[in-house]
Amino acid sequence: MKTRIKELRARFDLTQEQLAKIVGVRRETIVFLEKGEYNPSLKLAAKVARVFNSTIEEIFIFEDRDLE
Amino acid sequence: MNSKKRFVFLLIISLLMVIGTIFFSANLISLGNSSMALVLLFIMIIPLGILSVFIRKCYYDLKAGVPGEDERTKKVRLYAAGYAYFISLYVWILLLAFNKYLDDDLLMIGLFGMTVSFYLSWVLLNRKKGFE
Repeated sequence: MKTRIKELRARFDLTQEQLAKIVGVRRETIVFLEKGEYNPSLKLAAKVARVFNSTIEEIFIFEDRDLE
Repeated sequence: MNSKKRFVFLLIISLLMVIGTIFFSANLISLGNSSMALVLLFIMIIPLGILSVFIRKCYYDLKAGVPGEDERTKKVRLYAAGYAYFISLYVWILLLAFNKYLDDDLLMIGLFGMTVSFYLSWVLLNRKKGFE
């Protein structure tokens, strides 16, 4: 899974800690999310998408092999 | 458990541990077993040191306003508990096989094994990539 969180965070001028605080998770979780090393719940994905005025599909990009 | 409750809980636990250690050490010294009291003090430094790290981390979380635990940490803990359960079964089978050599230490070693298996599972799962 690839994510655009890092790119969008830079565009919105947010630090990892600020984003973590907004969506109500630990900073480490944001780190794992940015690296694509954690699959978030639908609720968390929606919260992140809302912060960036975007959709879940635009932020979390799944390739075919991720869905196997 | 939110950061504030977690912080208070850890503080109370560490305080109880310190009081308990002082109480037992004083008791051992009064019984004339000061060397054992010293051993107890040295042993208790390890869990108290680990607890102080957690308290410090918890304090900074509280200050930063981020939660002490979230969906990922909860998932890691649940999975770690599951793995530790299976490992513990084998630990107990192994201990029961060597029952006659262990005498009264069986329960203590078993509980220690369960704790270690949970801690190891937690550490490994916490570093796992692609955790779902």
